[in-house]
Amino acid sequence: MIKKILILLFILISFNANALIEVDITRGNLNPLPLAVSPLSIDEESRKSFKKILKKENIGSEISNIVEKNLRTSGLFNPLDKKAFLQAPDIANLKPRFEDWNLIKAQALITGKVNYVEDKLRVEFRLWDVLAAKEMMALAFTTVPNNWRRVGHIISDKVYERLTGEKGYFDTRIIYVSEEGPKTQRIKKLAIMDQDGANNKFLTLGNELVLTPRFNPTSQMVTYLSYFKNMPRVYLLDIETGTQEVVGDFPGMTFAPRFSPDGKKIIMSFAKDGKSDIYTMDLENRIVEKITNHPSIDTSPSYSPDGKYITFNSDRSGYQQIYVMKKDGSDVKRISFGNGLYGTPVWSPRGDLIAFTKLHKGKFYIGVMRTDGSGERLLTENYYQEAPSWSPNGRVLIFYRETKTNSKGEGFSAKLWSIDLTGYNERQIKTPTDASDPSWSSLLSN
Amino acid sequence: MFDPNNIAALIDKSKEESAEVLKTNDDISQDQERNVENVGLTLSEEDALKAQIFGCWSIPLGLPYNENLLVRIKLKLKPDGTVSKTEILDHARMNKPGQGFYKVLAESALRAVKLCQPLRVPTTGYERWKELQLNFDAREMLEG
Repeated sequence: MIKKILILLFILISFNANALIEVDITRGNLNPLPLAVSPLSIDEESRKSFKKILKKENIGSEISNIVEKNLRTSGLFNPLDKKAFLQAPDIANLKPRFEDWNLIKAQALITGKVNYVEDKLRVEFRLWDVLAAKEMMALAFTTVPNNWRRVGHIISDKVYERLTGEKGYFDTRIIYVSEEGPKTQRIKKLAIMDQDGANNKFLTLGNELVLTPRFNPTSQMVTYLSYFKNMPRVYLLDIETGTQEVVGDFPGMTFAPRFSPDGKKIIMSFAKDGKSDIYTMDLENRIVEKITNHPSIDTSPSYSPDGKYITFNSDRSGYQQIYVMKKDGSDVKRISFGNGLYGTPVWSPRGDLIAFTKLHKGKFYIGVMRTDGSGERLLTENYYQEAPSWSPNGRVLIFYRETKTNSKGEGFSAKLWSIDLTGYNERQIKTPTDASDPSWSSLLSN
Repeated sequence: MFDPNNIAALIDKSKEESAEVLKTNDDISQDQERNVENVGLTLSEEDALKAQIFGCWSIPLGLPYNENLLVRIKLKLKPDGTVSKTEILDHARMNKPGQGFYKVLAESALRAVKLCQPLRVPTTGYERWKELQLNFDAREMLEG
């Protein structure tokens, strides 16, 4: 018996002596990650060649500036001041002196080089973990020189994905309605630009009113509304080829056409006899299917990314609220129950959230809620703002905001703004004219 | 209301309590005293270490918060708190398909350890804490 007790005691003592102390780390800082974006190095001959073609003094620096700006505007990274860099770009790209980068508190480092090869732009870049003193990623791209901005965006996406675990959203475009002229006589054109506001182009002349452009999630196709003989028509526009077609003339008013996640259908609402219902149209066979049938105003439909559900707004409860239903229109459930009116619901590409516009006590809010209506968070408040559209990674929303006119009717403006899910990183996206109704494209490259 | 003096008082209290336990154990045999030393860090020791690492850990904000976001890292420490070895205990997950977020999270945890060292470890009882396991769990922060 004594022997058994002694053995037990020995086991217990040994167990305690070898027990590993565990410490739970459940908090961290949400500060932007400090990183260094070293200018991409370039040899003199290549620099001169690109200067001649692109009219840019140093294309290596220009590309790294794009990467730096993208990462900074994401709000997740803090690119450090280049003046503090201790290592020359060409040497850093070969073998960074990690202690130098550590000294300026960089946790990650981007280096690279640019070459002019057979009339093409060749860009190599590397991402380094400064603290672990190791390379995290190395990639090279070759393209026509005019694509230099896109190369900057693609590098930004790769870095973003490697450091955050989710895809980026920099190599994307935004389509929107450009607005000019007095408020009562606005000239509205379709316009498109890169997500950072560069390469702005007008796609229509402004002869007809255009509304609600929306990107196909699987391609560079856009659907939008334009008026013809005072009736709205739904159009399809291929951004790459410029070809355009009328999807159809529908009885009554048509609103807010939007693609299904596979790009094969358009979902929209038609207003007729004082009520409005939701319909889909198959783009292959042009068959129209009625999805809701209710004596109320059902509008702004948006599919879940798996295509199984649809969110929309309806006044069937007496006030405009957000609802979710199955794709065939069955099992309709109201999900918004807060104070005020809710509209323009848009399902996140990640599938976890629905963005919306809310009107409460004369103020407009852009917010998000879970798909069952729980966890409502209002991200931004203003005099007038609406039409949120998700970045392809479901991290950022773009919307438009109007300013109030003064007593003389002056001072009106409409501008595009973006905000991320934290609600802290709000930014205006500069456009050459006033702008409304933005829609974010999917990634141009994957 | 946040009152730093109160927190300081709590930490001091914790120190006093642990000191008292050791004092009570003074007259117990030497084997048992060693046993007490091996049970873990005191609350104030653990809090100091946690607070230090909280400040060093930049949580990658793009992680899916509905996934298992626990990274367990075993550390071997030198007496001055510098880290001589790190080991990710679920290393096999690093390169599994569909677990890219785990790799990102594990790397961020390793960066936090490296950035923080030397770690704020107790000045005595090296045998007790020469090996530590840190469990990095981002769920609470990401669900926010």
